[in-house]
Amino acid sequence: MKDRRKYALLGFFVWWTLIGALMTGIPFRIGTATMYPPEKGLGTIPYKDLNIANLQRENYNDFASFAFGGHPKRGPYGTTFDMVNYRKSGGPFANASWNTMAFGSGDFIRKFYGPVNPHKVKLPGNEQVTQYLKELAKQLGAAAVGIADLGPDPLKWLMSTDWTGRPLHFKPEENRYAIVAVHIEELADHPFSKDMSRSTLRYYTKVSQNYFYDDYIAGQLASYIRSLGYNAIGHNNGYVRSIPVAMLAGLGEVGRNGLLLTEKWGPNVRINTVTTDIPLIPDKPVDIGIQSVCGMCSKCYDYCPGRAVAAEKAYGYGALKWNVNNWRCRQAIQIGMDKDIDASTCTLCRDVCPFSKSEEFSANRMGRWMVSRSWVARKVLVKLDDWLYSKWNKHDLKELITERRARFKESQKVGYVDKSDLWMTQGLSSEEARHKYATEIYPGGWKGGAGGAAFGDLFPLYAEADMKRPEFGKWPTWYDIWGRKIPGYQDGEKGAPGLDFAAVEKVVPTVALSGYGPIVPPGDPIVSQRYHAYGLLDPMTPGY
Amino acid sequence: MEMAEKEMTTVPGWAQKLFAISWYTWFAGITEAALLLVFLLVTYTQFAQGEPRAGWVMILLTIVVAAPGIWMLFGYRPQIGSKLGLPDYALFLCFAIWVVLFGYLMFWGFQLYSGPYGSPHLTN
Repeated sequence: MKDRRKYALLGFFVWWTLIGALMTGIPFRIGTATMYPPEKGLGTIPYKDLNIANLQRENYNDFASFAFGGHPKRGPYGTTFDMVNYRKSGGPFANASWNTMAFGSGDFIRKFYGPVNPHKVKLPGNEQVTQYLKELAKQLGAAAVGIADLGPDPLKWLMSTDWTGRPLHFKPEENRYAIVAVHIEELADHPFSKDMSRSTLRYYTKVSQNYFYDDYIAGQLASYIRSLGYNAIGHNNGYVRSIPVAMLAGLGEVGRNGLLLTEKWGPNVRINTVTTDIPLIPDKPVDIGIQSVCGMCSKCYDYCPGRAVAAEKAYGYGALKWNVNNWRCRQAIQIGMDKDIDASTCTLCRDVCPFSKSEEFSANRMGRWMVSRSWVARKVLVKLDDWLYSKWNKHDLKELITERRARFKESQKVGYVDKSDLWMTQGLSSEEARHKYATEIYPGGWKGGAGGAAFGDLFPLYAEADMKRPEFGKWPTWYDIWGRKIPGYQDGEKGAPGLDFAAVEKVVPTVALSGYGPIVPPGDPIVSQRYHAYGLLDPMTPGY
Repeated sequence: MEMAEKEMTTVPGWAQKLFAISWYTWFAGITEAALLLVFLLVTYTQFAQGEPRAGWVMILLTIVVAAPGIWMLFGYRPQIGSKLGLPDYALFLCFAIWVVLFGYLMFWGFQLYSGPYGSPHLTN
């Protein structure tokens, strides 16, 4: 027989070179998706009847219902100090960390809207202006920036009402383009710890930082453009359909879990947008293999405690996609990550997503690049993800999800009505059922809420005895830096300022505060009513 | 003058060894180096990003994928004209494992199995 070593080594070379070519799509891409023209779809997603906007959600009011709707009436919220001193669950370090973080920035939200310079600045050219504004957004903290051309009818990309239900009056000619910026939000560790730990600090600080960046980038950019003499409105996660617009701007694709998945950072981004009429060069939607990968992967579907992620694609309000059942998602959030932990912290569909691995490591970046180029890499790497991180206990989440699923079922038994056929509802359907759940299964029922961010905490936060303390819900006496005495509960009922709503306001997500703009008249009864329902004072009320 | 020419054409010992390596060994060697680089990078990444379990799985995969290549390069030297022996069977086994491994990763289809937490869309 001839030189067998030669054939063995050549076979070795040919085999692995072939595998390498298949995995990297070099020299040819393997398995590219259909890109639909604007009249037939958005990027890789086809739609019927030009109903692109429904890729995400109906209007802001529905979203507000999703986030805030269906709350039972709650007792006094307590102050920051009460949360630390008397909250039954968690520990003082954890309670203090999440109760003192400010989410978003009112200062920059106020820069979302404003007057436009009546003297238009002479622009150097569309291309230069586009590059300049993209660079500005990046310097402000954006990881990536894209431009979307919203077409002659941009209103379908924008919300029709504000979070109070009041109609919004965007002018089509003033909102032709959208500058969409994403910035990175790292994953939190799981499971969330109940007290002093890196995880606790990391979760609340990163959410806090990113709400701030949303407002900061959009606010600065919008006011900059207005000062050039062009219309511009900033949006954090409110009043614009962020995900479809981000897709249109070529920043990523929508995944099975309903989130924007970017090539470099997966779902670990937040989106902010500026809509404007300054002439810009638009970007185009991209195919980075997300639709293909999500078709092969079932992680978010498997791990969702609320069973809200779809198995198969369907036309939901016009677009062919995996439709997240927001009603179930809402239920899962209300059930909470852990019965002792703030209920708003789910994000499991994001945590288990193969695209959520940190971009800091070149190996992860290489994997995403391969996935964007080759169908073969998608097949192999999705399976490899199971091998490496376990299919059924990824990141050791099994115990957490088992517990959460069990409580989810408990809640179903006592009368939650399944409205899964509805895409978006008011969240909870029955106040009585919720009350029954809280009183019979977890005796003690509703005693108080955490205020703001703790939407849907099903468990009593404070003991009756603690809530009857004279200092509960009031601030102590203190002196400001000018030496003035600010009376507190020690100064008697007359001097006690009662609840400090400004402190509570800090933990309300930015989206809830988007009504800050001048479009809401001061002291408006609807807004006041809304704020009052969540234990807040209307910030536009005189004397606030 | 003659001395100078002789010095210029002298090839050092280590270079002579390199030139003596056959072209197909070079090809296989570079392939092996690339494989090792990628697999070790992925392995390192798992430990660095706090996934030790994944790191150990990658060590196993690195052994399965890259170790046979090292043996082929340095250990597999059958005599020309000799009969097939144990090393040849081991060689076939290596290729068979790679084919099965890649075939599994590539063609084992995605199915919506009912997981340990219950199948989301079928129960309750």
